[in-house]
Amino acid sequence: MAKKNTKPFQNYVRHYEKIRNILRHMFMYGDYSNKDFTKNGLAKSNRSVYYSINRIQNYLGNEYFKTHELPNRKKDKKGYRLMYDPFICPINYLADTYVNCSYVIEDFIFYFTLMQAFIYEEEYYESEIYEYDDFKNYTDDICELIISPEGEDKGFEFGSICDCFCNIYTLNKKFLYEQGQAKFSDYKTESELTENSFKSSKIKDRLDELSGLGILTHRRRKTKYSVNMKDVYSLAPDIFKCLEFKELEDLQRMVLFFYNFSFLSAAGYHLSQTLNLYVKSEFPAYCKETGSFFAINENPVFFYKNNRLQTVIDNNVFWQILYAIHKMKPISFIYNRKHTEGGEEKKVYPVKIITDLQYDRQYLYAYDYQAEKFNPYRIDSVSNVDILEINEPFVFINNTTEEADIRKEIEEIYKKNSANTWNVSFAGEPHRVLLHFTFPQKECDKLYNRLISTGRFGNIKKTSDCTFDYDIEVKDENAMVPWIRSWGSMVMVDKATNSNLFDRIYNDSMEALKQYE
Amino acid sequence: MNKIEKTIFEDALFNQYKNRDFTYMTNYINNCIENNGFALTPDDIKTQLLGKSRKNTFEEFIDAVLNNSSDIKDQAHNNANLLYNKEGRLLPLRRVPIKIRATVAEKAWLYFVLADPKTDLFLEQTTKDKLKEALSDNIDFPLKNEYIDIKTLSKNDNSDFKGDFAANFKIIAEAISQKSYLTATNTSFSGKVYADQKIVPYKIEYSPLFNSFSLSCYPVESGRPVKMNLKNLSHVKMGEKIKNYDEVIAEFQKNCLT
Repeated sequence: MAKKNTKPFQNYVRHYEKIRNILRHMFMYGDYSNKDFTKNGLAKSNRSVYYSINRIQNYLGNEYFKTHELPNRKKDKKGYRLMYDPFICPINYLADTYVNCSYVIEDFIFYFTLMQAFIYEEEYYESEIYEYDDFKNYTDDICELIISPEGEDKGFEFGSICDCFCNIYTLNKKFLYEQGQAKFSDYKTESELTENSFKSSKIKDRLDELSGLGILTHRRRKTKYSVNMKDVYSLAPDIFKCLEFKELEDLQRMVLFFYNFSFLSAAGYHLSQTLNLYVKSEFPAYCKETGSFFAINENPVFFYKNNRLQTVIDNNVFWQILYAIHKMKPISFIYNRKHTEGGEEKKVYPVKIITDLQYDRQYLYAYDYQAEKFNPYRIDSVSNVDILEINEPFVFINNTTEEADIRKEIEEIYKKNSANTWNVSFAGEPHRVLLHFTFPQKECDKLYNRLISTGRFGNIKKTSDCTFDYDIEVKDENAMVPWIRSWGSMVMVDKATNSNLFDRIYNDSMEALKQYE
Repeated sequence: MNKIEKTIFEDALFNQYKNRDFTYMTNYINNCIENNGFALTPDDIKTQLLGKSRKNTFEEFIDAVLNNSSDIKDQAHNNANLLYNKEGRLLPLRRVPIKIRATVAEKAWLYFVLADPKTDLFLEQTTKDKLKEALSDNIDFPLKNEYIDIKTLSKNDNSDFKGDFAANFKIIAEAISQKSYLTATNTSFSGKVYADQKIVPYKIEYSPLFNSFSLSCYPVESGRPVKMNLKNLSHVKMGEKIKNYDEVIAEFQKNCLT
């Protein structure tokens, strides 16, 4: 066990890039040893792999992190993989890797001391704030951040929060010292306190971080006695206070269902934990005792088919792109492809995120300023996203200035470019594809349902008993090949309509037949 | 971008305040304020924080929680000073519960999900309306349907989950949650009717690819695992609690894997 937050185990949030690709490979393939990760460019050095693997094991625990012996090796035999079994593990545990960012003890102290400084009016007047008998008659020097339950918009100026925090923390220390529960040298005056870990600049950073996360709200306002604008913070509104216990239970069940497959799983996963904490806090009488104060992740009602969990690993990239689309800002990022060492910098205007449900891949559709055209980019190859400031971000549309008009025009461009795409092949003009399906009598209904449920936007016409024509206009008909092949001998490509596709399927089938000679 | 906007852009999902240490302390404080009987001894807290399956909970953190940090000159290690020792157990020093708040990312996600028709399977319309109103107050969320294009396999979105389907779904979900039997009539795609079967429900299986629900279950008479499409179920009722539930489910899982 580490003695302190030593460097190898710290994981400042930006270092998620170091573990992202290792996590992905461990989850999807699970067949690399330490040296394999380095050899294949997923880590810079063996040491880096060692630290990354240790971090991952620490985040996820031995329940989901497995080691095994790689076959056919004399040395370097230890392989790492992550478990996914829908029977045993119906939760997206990979989302846990987002919350294990590093912190220092002062962050911990600051958060809890501050959160216990926010007191509802009735708590202030009716309860005794301090537990210990000797503390109950505290002096008037104590100040709390008293909030009204009705409209939690009473902000507190930055200076007041600093004073309140230092006041309470110092008083806590003083009380414990007087009770013999703290060493003399731990007791510092308020002024000594602010000289080290709780300087006003660090308090401001923490308050801004909590505001960015949405736990606090922030605004600037003029005060009565000053011409300058002041930073004002308050506790974020409680969005669940309108719900009764049964409604919260239903909401939790809904969140547990959705977060395992919806976009931005990590946010849903965190929300389920928030609800857990909230219900225990607001309705303790209804909660079962678990004997542990850790949040337990369970999904007792649902499990999932055709569901891949690894997209959660790119959730933060997904969020950053969405943010840029929402704010109508261009971005830059590094595009990491197999044949480009170190990645290639791209400068784009993001238009849309595309999700291909069949292969569970996500793409960014964007205007590339350098190539001067629209391209799709695989989000799992995108990293280091940053907002880009450029003079004319909307070079690809006609001159419009109103935001609503710009959005409308961008949407029309996307609709036009994405029409007739089978998945994410945008290039070229649409070609007609006509397929003739013949189903065996016994399974005709079942196969017809399958044709409807997987046939995208094609038109289906019954030609006779158990035979159907499937007609579609599509860009890049080669993208249809895996789907066509999945029907085996039940489908025939109409050669007259699309001879290229016919030849492709024919040649592929001949090649496959060779395996059986 | 200012610092707050930068946090929203870069770090909205990286939330240390949700990690196991913060969560533990939040639960501990809130539970003990409600009932002192939950309070633990310092050794018990240390054991729980160290845990079995995790390698590292740092000594520095445990010492801070237990107020055992030593003060080395010029390298002050701070005690958390959140708990105090009363008759051998650690209680929260201030009897103020930690207020729980959803983050921007969580609210954005919830607002986005509430637009999905499947939420009708879980929430009453009044609950949805209350949540939408609470969420739409001065919040500008980047997670919107219009920014995402989902390439589905079918032009039919299969999203008719109202009426009897919704009612049956809720009963089945509740039966699974309560570890109770179900009775249901299953009309298969081929037209065969299995009337009023007594079933041990295991879980509801959802396929995001086809937007469809099935019930993985164990009809008592057939004695083997079966999957039933929820759209084919009717006359669904919750029965009595299943005795020896863990043994029954273990048997079910064994049969599924063989």
